[in-house]
Amino acid sequence: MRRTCLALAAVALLAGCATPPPAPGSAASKVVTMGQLDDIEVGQMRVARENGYLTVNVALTNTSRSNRTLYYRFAWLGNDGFPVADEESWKALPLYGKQAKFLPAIAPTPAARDFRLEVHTR
Amino acid sequence: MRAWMAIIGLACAFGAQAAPKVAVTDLAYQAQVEEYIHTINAQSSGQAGMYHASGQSSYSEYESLNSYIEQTELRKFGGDIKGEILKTGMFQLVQGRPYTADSKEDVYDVIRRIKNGAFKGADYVLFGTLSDIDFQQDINSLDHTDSYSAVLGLTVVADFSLINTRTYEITSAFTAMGEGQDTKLVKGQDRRVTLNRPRVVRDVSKALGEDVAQQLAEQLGGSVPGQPEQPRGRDNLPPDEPARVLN
Repeated sequence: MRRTCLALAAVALLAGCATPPPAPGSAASKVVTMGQLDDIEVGQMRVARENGYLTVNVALTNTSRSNRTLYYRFAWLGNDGFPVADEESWKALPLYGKQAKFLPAIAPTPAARDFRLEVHTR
Repeated sequence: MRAWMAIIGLACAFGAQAAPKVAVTDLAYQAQVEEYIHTINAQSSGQAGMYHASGQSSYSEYESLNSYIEQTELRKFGGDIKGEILKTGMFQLVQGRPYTADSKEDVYDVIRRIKNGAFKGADYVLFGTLSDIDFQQDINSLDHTDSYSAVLGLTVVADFSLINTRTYEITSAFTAMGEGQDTKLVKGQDRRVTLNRPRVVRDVSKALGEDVAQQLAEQLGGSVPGQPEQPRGRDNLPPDEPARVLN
């Protein structure tokens, strides 16, 4: 009985730890964390096509009281899911303690249909 | 009857496919030429005998300054313009009659030249006039070295109009530029530096030809080989989409 309880508890714990994959089309599905992302929350994303070009605006929040620097770059993808532009260089975005900020971006080519936001802090 | 219709249809199809014929003129320009002539003629002669002596001297001086405007065509930069137009495949080229010293008409009066039959068989004439040509020769010092860079540069700017030989309508008009330069590193010990002038001229000619072909393609909606097709206006852009917020 005791063993069964322990086994059940272990299974429940493991199930709780495994994070479900983000729903397709959600903001989380567009974010790729490379390395570590500490104290920065990637929130809602506004996506539109304006004058033929894909535009994105991403809400970011620094959840800690200390200043943080977010390193990011966008990958612009075509209809087939493959990149349509050259790989961008990494850019740094300083965020003060508890600051909420919006990060705007415009695709470099009208061929971009989708995007990925690659981020890390360290 | 049907056979005749088929033949006429085929003839129309081939006629529609044939690219229009274009004659490309050399770059027309006019320059002011000045002639200065100064002639001095002095003669002196003398005779002396036992009982008489005679002397004669003459002096004449002639000075004139003639100034006239010479009209002609610059023949150096036509080859690459024709080559690049041929590469686009939009036109067939025909050779027009070049403007020579014997030509009676004004080099800029392209309509008279068309009427006089200078461009026989051409549907269009690409008429180019030289706007400016400038050679630059500079020697610049290089910081923290004992070397200099000697630069020979050439820039040519020309104005082009594509004129329909039947209606005299200007189908396309633009200014094109060609640039080229040759650079050599020079040290104090170098006595004489000769920069490669022919190569500069070749580079300018090529750049001018490419610029002409690109601007023609932009205005007439064709494509330049080796370059992606230029989108015309907003036609090739995907339609705008309303903003959506991802959570």
